[in-house]
Amino acid sequence: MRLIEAPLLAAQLRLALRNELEEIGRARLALLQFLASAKLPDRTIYRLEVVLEEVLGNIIRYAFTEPSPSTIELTVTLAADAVVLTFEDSGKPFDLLSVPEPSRPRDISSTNVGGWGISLVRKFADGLHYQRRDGRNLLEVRIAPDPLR
Amino acid sequence: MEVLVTNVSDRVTKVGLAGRLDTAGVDRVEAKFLAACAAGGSHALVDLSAVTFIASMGIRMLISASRAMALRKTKLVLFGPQPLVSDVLNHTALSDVIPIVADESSAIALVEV
Repeated sequence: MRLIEAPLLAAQLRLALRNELEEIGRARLALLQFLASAKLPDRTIYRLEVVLEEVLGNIIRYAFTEPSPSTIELTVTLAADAVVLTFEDSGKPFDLLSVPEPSRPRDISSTNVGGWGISLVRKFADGLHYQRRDGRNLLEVRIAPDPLR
Repeated sequence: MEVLVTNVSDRVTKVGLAGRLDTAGVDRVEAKFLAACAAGGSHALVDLSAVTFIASMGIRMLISASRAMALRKTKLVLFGPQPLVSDVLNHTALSDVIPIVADESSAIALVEV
């Protein structure tokens, strides 16, 4: 069953992003523009934005040990039943699925300030698939549309 | 992203946030927000009603502020998050360690006990 109203021509968006935090905003605007005609529920757009923010932020902050410029390939595919975000980078191997969930603290003084990004990706994704191929990380995140209310 | 600070009383400050608490938004307001929460040894009520998006960098900023205030024996209370923002807050440690209430009067009641 087709759950997403896909535009006839543009079923895929491809972006080449620099490994700079400012690129997250550019990717977000391109994603929103690409998905505008798909008429997705607000919550689905929010989930996509969180995943984009967290995965790109993680790659840009931690994947590259050298300060030299690198490119992150982002592909957004509008499938019949989901939006699929594919992130590809040449940074060090990192399987997001291998990261344990942060423990829930008992009080503010023992709370880690960070570490919730990957947990949010897990929460909002309907499917996650990682592989290391030809020296590159490939992460595919599938997000199905939320029911209309 | 904007920060608006108002005095509720001698011991309570309201810090309103408006916009997106993403990487770019937090980068813009974090220093001002942390300074506003720490100012004058007051409790801080953080109005989230105009925050349209939050992700891990926003969570990090709120936990940092609350930790700094706990060391000074003052409280940070969040109020008025929109449903999608609330969904994120409830998923993280934040809701376990920082009070989150629906409105300003409920937030004031928590710091004036």
